[in-house]
Amino acid sequence: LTPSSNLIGRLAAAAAGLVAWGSLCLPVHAQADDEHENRDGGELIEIIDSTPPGAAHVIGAKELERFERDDIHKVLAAVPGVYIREEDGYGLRPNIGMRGTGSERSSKIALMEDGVLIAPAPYSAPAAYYFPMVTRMTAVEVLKGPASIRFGPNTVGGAINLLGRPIPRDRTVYLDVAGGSDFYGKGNAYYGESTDRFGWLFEAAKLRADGFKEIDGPGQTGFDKHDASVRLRANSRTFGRSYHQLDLHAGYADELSHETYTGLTDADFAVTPYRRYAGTQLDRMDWTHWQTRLTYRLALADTLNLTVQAYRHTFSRAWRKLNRFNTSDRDLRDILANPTTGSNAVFYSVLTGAADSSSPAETLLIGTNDRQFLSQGIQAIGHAERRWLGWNHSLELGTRVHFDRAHRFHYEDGHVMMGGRLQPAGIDRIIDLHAADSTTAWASHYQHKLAAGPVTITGGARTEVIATRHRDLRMPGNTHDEVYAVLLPGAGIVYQPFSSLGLVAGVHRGFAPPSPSQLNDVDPEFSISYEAGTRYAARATAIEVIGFFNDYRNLIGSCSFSSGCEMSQVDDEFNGGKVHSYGAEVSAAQELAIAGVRLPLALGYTWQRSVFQQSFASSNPLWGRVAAGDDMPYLPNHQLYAAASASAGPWELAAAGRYTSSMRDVAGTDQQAEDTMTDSALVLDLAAHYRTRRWGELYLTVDNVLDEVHISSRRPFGARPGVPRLIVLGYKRSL
Amino acid sequence: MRRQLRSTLAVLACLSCSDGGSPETPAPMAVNFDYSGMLDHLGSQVVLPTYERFVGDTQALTAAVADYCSALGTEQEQDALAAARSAWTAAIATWQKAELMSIGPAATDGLRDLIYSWPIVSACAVDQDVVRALEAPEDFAIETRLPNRRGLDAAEYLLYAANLDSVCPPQAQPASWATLSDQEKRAARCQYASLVADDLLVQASTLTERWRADGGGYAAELAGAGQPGSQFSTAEAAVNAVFGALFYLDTKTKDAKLGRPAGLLANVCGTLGEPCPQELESKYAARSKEHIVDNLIGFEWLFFGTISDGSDGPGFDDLLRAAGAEQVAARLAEETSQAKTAVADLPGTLAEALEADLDKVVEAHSRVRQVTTTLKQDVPDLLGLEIPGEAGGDTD
Repeated sequence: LTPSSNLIGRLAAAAAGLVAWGSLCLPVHAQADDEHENRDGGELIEIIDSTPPGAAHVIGAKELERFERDDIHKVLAAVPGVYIREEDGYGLRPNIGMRGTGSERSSKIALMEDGVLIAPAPYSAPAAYYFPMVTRMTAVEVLKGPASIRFGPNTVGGAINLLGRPIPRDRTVYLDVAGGSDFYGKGNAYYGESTDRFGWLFEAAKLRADGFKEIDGPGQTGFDKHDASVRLRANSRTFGRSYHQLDLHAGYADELSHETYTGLTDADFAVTPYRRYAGTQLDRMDWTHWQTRLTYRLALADTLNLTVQAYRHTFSRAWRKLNRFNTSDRDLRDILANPTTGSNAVFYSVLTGAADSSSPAETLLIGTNDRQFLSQGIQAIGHAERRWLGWNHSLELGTRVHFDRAHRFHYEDGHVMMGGRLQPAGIDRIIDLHAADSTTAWASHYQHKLAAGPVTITGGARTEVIATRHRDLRMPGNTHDEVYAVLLPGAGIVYQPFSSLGLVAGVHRGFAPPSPSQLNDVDPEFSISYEAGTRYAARATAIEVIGFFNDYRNLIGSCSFSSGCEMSQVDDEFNGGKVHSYGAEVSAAQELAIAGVRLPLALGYTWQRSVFQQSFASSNPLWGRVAAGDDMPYLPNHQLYAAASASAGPWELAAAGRYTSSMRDVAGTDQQAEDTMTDSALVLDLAAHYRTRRWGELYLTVDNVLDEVHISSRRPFGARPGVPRLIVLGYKRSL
Repeated sequence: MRRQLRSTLAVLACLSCSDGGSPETPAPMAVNFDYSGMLDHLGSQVVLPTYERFVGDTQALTAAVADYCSALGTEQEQDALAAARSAWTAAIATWQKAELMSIGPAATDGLRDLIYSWPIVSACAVDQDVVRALEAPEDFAIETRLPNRRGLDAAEYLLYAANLDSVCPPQAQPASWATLSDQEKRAARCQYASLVADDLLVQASTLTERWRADGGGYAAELAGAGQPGSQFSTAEAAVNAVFGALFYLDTKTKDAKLGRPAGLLANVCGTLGEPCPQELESKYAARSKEHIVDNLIGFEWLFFGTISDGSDGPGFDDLLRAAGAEQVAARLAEETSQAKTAVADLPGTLAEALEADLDKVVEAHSRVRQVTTTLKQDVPDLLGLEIPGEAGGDTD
């Protein structure tokens, strides 16, 4: 008997439900049976249970390994309803949106690792400048619709949960090394095993690349990331009526990346899309992240589970990048949009190193946003199942006490361009911001699921009591406290007239909290979100069609430097008023077997729009002057994902293509000029694997096979490219 | 705490209470008025004549600078220099009025910056180009040079800077400049000033042409706003374009020309509440005060539809009257007049006033601010017009 078979048995039951559900809803899950067999489940906290009351998707280990993707953007491309805005090409700082929420720094969705909120400060500063290394993940869960009220605080779009590596049952030594173009390098190794009463796992990962851009002058590009973690488990004997398990997960991660926010003019992009201007030579992000989680699980009989988690995450980052010139007369965005018009030519020449700085206004201000984050709390979730009055009842009660804090120190140092090199200008440092925001939140949720015959009804509610504090540390005594509470109900129904066909519908109240510094001027984000659709699954075919409609009472827009906001606006938020977001998500899967060759096929398509219902003028540069009927920026109307693979004997070949329609750079209607849109992009990826039991696995992946060049973003400054063709050859072996 | 708890309970009890918050919606422009007539008058009777006058001024400047260069080393040198400076003064006075008229080609084609790039100016860059033009005149084409090496700001430095040393920091000093005699330096600067003046004439002529009916026809574009063929799909868009130009008085005149030198706003000196002469607009000719007065006159011309001879035509004041807000038009006229007086009455140059009587400079700033406050707070709501983004907040 394996160490935690009691719990595993129950998790397996849940997994079986998930598989049944997965085979219904998730084409990429055609192989879910195998994946869940491999999941020990020991210390993993999955968020998707059987028959969730809304759309849910799982990207399992096999799919993750098939293309060996390190970029969460590429991983999530397979999930309908999820959209992204690329930034650096490697997904170092993801911008993920769901169902029209806005994608800026993934701040509108609930991001979790093993069921715990993972954003640096989920309430006070939810922008995901930290994101777990995808390399060490074994599955990604995406939950949308009414079920998302179990998580929060953001409930409009949904939740994403990353599942880390479980402690293996048997002693396992694993090594994965890879190298590729642009001096890409990956190393991932772990060692772990379980005994009757204990288990442990030690894992380390490194990811690097020299980057695909070239700076005009001196300076580095690329990135270097490290991650190390340990998981320890102690558990009771697996016989008897109760089972106890204690898990400790401690991890460290760091990143040093020489990335920039500054893109190119359209003319320069057309000639050398992977160029970087000399003015960006000092840009770099430097962060460290520590996380500790302690998880206790109790299982009583077969009908009651309790999970209690205590967590503490700290995140320190210093993001140094070109902010602006030392004048209020021009900003980089204007300069790059019209580089030859009037005095813009002066600044463009200095930015590119073609001319030396010759006046104070031509001093480049290199800003460092130095921030320290703390996120800690304790949460408990209990599940119980009973059959009563002819219905199967499944109850979940959860509560979380959470505290997070964001300490911000933003400053700018002047540099002059001399002979293509940036040199200190010798002017006084400019302090832009020194403030601290903190939030204490008590969140609780209750979900009750009733199942009888073909009908499953789920209802529940979430409450959040939120106390915030904003302190301007440059003005002692300038403190602003707020306390408020929200109630977020939701309900869904699944009707299965036949075992192969399911009809789903749901409604819930969406919510996103404003940051503590904004509560005077910005209202919380609220919406009523609806979804309805159907699922069909028969043998090797699965199809799901879901429509959604989010009726925002007030949509919040948040300002970050990456979205093109000025330093004085960073972390400001804005009321966007009434917005309607709607769309349709289609996913389909078919698994064929021809002459002994398995051929799984998957397709995902999303059509979506977010439309402002009011006219207003906003100082949020992403919105600007908005007219009722304008579309929200950075929301692709169409997304298509298609994947196919074939495996026979030791070989597996896979291909995936993803199409994203062009996105508007600011709010507007269809008649926007080309230079205010991103490019539509069709990117094709290939992968080949050769596996032997004796010698391990050799793999080759080619991302962007066609070397598609496209403008993926125009924020914050200028045209920014997607990643070019990336060829990686790797080897991995498990002993 | 009890109050907070009460509010918390209230929110729990009334979920919809938290749903508030809608962005401000501007009123549509809906005054029954002859917009086309106003746009025609402002374009063809106010803006275009100002530009045409500036062409004449630059012609005079070109001739005066050429005379000065010819007179170098002779007894007429000082008189010729005075004449050249006088011609520059006339040209800049006209242009400071035109600064309030940065509509169409002046802004979109960058012509404004080629004529006068302040505050993006660099005497060091001019020094470097003086040497470049001197050392390789056959290769030097001023039309290819950056705006901070051309225009009225470059001409001011070349005609007024008393010190013949380069202002560049040591690492950017033109190598051969120090080897020249003072007379050679004067001659080099004068030759470069002549190139600058010639270029100014070209840019001024180009700008004027783009407004004329037989050239770019921008004046007709304005007057024909909302009609087929006009780049303005609606009259509202054209009126907003003109209205937006008036906010130069807010962001440049009030903030950059008065607020920063007076220490009322963050400035390069880093000392709020104290004068900061480094922020003065006219560092060499010492005409910062006159520039501000000319800005206010330019504002009057464009807002009230005033022609330079003093006669009146349809302008925003008439639009206000049509909207039933005659008192706002009258108040704005009074405030503009008071602002002009307050600035003109400053003792000596603006630099001298900053040193001798900062309070009066602050008072002048306050007077200008009254104008821009009315412009921002009253006029848009009454007329359904849009405030340009950069003038949306009050940086005070």
